[in-house]
Amino acid sequence: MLPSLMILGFLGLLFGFGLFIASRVFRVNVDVRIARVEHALPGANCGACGLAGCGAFAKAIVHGSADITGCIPGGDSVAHLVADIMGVEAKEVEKDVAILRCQGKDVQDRYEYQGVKTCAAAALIHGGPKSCLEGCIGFGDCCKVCPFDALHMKDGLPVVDEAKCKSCGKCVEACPKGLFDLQPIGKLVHVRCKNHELGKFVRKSCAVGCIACKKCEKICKFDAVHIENNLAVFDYEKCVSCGLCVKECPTGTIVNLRMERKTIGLWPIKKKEEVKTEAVESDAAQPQSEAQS
Amino acid sequence: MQEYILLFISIVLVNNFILAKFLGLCPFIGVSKQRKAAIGMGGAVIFVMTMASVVSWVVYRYLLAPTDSNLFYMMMGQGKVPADFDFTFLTTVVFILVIATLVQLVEMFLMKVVPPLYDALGIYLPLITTNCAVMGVALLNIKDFGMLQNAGVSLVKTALQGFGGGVGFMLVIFLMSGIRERLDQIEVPDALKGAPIAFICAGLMALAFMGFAGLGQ
Repeated sequence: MLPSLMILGFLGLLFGFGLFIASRVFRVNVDVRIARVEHALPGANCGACGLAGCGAFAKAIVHGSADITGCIPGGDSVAHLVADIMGVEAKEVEKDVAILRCQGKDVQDRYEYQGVKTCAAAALIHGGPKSCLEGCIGFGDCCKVCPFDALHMKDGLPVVDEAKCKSCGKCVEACPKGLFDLQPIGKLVHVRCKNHELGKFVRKSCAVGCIACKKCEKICKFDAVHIENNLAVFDYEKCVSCGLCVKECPTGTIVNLRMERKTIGLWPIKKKEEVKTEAVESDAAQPQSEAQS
Repeated sequence: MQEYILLFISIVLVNNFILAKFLGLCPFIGVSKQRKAAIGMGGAVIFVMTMASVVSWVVYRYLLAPTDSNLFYMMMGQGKVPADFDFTFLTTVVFILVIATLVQLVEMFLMKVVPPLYDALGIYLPLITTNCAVMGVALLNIKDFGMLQNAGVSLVKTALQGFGGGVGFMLVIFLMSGIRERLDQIEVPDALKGAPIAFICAGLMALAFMGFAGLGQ
């Protein structure tokens, strides 16, 4: 009994003390800025910067291998915080939002699906139960992966809360139909369909799908819309979001998001100076909380 | 001399820890994706295994085993026999302590001296702590050589077996990483992508290593 205690106690003390000395000898001084930058980042570990997580991104910033504006979800505000820590000027970041390329709410089912209620599983069985093979299946895989609570199912379709969307791209990866893509918030006009079938087949399954009538292509003054594979596709480089094609579209497939964005305050886009002055005002309004933090 | 060479070859090829004893499979599958990381891991395991063998031998020989050289027997053994000082039931617990401490030490050392290697090994470095191959070699050592009369021979054989075990581990994990780097280039059926095909390759390698069984009886 006693010798056993002595053996374990002695060895424990010896090794513990040895490790203590070793930790002193092999101490590594980590750059304090890494922790500060990591603290300034959103901490969602979404991977939109292309690195493994916020920790890896903070390390890359401090080591100079990543751009300080690389955090897309954090946007301008985080870029400014990081710029302050690193002591450099921040450039402006244009915010992207996720755009859903489908608005088929009343699409009929081809068969009764009784499997696991995820889009990924449903898509494996003949491309999903919906009669439109390229449209939204509606089990909301995208809503489940969104780390910012910016996606919610409404009437069988996911709705992007553009104020919350940080364009991390999780939904783009999650959708088995590839219905999401990220577009700059300045682009207001979008085609909400991804069906490449001929117009008459699209008509059968969905009232609001693109039937490739080419009206948008004809009316566009900027050569920005083209019918490719029976589907209207935008060239966002050329599109100026004038909205002519929206009025012309007979099925309502092309939508203009100007009003929606106006109501939630995302349009017109605030310039950097305005953001800054606003931030200053809000700082002045809450000096207490600032001092506490 | 021939005895030692045979011992080394036996533990590296014939009784290889991964492919013959099936110990340490977690890092074997986990770190064998890139050759560079595999060599680093192999190096770390060689170091830990050798050190663990030597330290655990010292602890076993002078604290736990019922021999003449047991410290307790020497201190308060008047009128008693060495068999009264048999603490071998503590072997497992003490060896875990030894190995965990050593791994901590290696981790600190690498973080200071070779940071790229530290990053490359990632989670698998602390996992050497729970690498059964390290524990396995320590226990195998005391089973094979722990009770040898000559302390010097016992220690040298122990160290050699620990070192050889590490070399065997490194050899196999390096070969595996070379195979897996090539596996990434070719088209593998979807169901077998990643770990499954790696396990199949490991099985084939184990079969090939069985060919060494006749070597150095």
